[in-house]
Amino acid sequence: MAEEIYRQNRVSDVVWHWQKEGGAPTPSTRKAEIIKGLVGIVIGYSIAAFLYFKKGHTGMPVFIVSVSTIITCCAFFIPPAFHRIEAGFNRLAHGVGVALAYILLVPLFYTFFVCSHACMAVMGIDKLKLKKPANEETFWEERDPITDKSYYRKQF
Amino acid sequence: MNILGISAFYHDSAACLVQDGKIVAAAQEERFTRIKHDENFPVNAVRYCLAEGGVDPDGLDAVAFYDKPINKFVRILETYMSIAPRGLKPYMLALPIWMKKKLWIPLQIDKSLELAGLKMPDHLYFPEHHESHAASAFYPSPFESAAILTVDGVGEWAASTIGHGRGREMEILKDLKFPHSLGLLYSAFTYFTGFRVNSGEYKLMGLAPYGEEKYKDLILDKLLTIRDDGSFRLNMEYFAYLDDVKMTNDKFAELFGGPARQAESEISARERDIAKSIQVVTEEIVLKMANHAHDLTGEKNLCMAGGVALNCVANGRLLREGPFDDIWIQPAAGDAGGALGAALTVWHLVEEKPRIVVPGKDSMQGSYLGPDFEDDEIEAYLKQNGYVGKRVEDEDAWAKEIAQIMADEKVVGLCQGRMEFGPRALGGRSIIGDARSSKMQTVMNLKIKYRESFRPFAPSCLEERASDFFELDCPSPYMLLVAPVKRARCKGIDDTDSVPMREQINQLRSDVPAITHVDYSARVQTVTEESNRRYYKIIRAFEAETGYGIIINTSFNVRGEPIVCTPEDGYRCFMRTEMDVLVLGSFILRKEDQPAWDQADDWQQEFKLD
Amino acid sequence: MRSLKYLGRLLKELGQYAWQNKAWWLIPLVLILLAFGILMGVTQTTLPFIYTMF
Repeated sequence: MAEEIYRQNRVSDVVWHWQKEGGAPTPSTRKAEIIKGLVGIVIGYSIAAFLYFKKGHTGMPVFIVSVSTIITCCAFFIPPAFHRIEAGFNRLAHGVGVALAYILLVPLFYTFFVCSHACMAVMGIDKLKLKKPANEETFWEERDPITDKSYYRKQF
Repeated sequence: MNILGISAFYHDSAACLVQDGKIVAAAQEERFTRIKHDENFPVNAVRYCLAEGGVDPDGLDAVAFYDKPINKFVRILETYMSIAPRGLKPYMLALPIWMKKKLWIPLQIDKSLELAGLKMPDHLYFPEHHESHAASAFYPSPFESAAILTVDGVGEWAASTIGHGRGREMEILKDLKFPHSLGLLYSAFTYFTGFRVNSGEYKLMGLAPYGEEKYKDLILDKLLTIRDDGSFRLNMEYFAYLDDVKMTNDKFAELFGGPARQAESEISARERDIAKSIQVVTEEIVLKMANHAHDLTGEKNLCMAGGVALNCVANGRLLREGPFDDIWIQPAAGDAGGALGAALTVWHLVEEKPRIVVPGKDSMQGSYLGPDFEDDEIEAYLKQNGYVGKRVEDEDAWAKEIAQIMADEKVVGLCQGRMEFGPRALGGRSIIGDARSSKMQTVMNLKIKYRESFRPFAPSCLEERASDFFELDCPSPYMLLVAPVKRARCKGIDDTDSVPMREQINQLRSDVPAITHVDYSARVQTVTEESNRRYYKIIRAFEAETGYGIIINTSFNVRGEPIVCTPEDGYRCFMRTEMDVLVLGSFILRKEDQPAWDQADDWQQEFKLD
Repeated sequence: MRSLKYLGRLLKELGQYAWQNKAWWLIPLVLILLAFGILMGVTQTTLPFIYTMF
């Protein structure tokens, strides 16, 4: 007699994946991989075509077509290989992202934020109340009551 | 009406579902992803809550996020403006995350609902961080009206607030703003004593009774200026959390006679004395704040939330020495509880729905708001994996068998009923044992939990027996109050000062030594049949067996691991440790009956030590 | 499309905040940060296809 398979209820199905071996990839993940593979091959072939037909190159277009085809085939048929390739590119992307963040944000810090600090110092603004307290009786600050319900719709 | 509450991106992200004013489900993301204090958007917790509430694809009416992201963003920018050119390091860490994630909350909510197969509702709300905390403390409380005190690290700008709740109305009256924060002050000392910020605060609190308040005057003299109403200013010259990615600086280290303790190194007398000193300062500030809240509101009841409200030693002192007749503390007082508060704010303040109060009974349902698993499913799971367990359908027989196992000084992992919401395990996902055993504290710490041996264990006690064991005259269902053990039960109470720490740990301090901390106190959970029938039956059966209606209760996890959620998590933790018996729903599994555990996993590598 | 919708909402609310609190400095800063964010985002998303540029 065949073993009866237990059917998980709606809650358990969401939080406990003991029936799904190793947390199998969801259809949406597979779909995303295939789309990525397709986008890659379209870009690769377009560039190869441009180089071959408009610029007259031969070696580079062959290389691009080969690499694009291999990666797309991996996306379709060998997901583990595709994951590795993708992880490699993601690491590269992360590194470039960090470098770019430094290139863009550091100058901003030393221009905008340092200048703002100087302006605040000149105007005597002590937003964080970092100066030694004087003889204030209390440090509690009064709040205005909320009268308008639209306050809750705003992100500020 | 279905309202989904969400907290995310700081620590302990969580989701909560409120249906027509009733709290239907709530859970922290860490339980599903198995990443302690997971701060990522709580996609899994959202999916769970919506499944538990049986919400249809277009059935969600509103989503409430627990803070106001733009205000928080502006506070961060203004902080950098105030301290530049210092602060480049935290700026470089914070800004990319804000640009990538934290400014896109509505988009993230939309995406996560899509993943759960739901339509984004038209109504999206953003109550303020401390208003969410205040709502989580007041609305589920058993009080018609009350003063409200919220104290944590920081929200948008506020770090502590005093509020007033009446019926469905709630208002924040006053606040103390960043960076002058009691939560951050406590975390600074957590960091300095070598524990992890945002998770090691309990350890600092547990360490305090081993020390003396030698540094109290120094702290009060150099680090802060306190007023009688509990308001204070920190001397930011000693703290590094504005301009660095650590909490304290060299000047702070100089003040306390040397650098911060390295994590996992030996704990010296200095750390013990620092722990005691900051604990006493914290208690005094909380007491003063509570007195001020009492003066402002004239209420006889107090509700509390925010991370500092999890300081159960301060709470116990507040109850004994403070001006309030009664105190109710939100069991998920940290940021996770903000999800609940945000949803309740929308229900009562935006939708203007009335609040129904049952005197003496809160609406948290024992904080058992997480997933439960059917016995048939557990059976199918055990069968599929070849694990051996005995199904005991009769609850009394089940409880009796577990009680007998505990009475034999065996350690039991208990995974039954709905999972708890908040940091405490309350009998749904707990490790339990015999409170009378003199070796239990050491065994459980070193062989089961793999954590520091000084850390105390808490008791679960039949509510009707609480006054037999503790100086406690009110229920403490959420393990948020510390009370002295009855003096008549204590041993050697007068000669502890001369004993070194290591010996103090193993000292027989009472007839329930496993739950009696070094200062003869305990963090009590009182259990009623109504709040958790099966758990109550276990303790009652234990009483029938031994004459003691009290057991040890600690969270079902190892150090650094989130509390277990599913039976599978429970089984894995059971097999990795020296636990003797596992209870999964109605099933009792003994270690010796199980097949060899061939999963070559190492929890110490899997979970980052906290 | 969805991202653009929420970008619009964010810019509108940041503008309202700046107006309400007279925090005019916020507007240029946010525009710069968003431009940086988009640049970093675009770079990071297109990088996985960088092999096609060989």
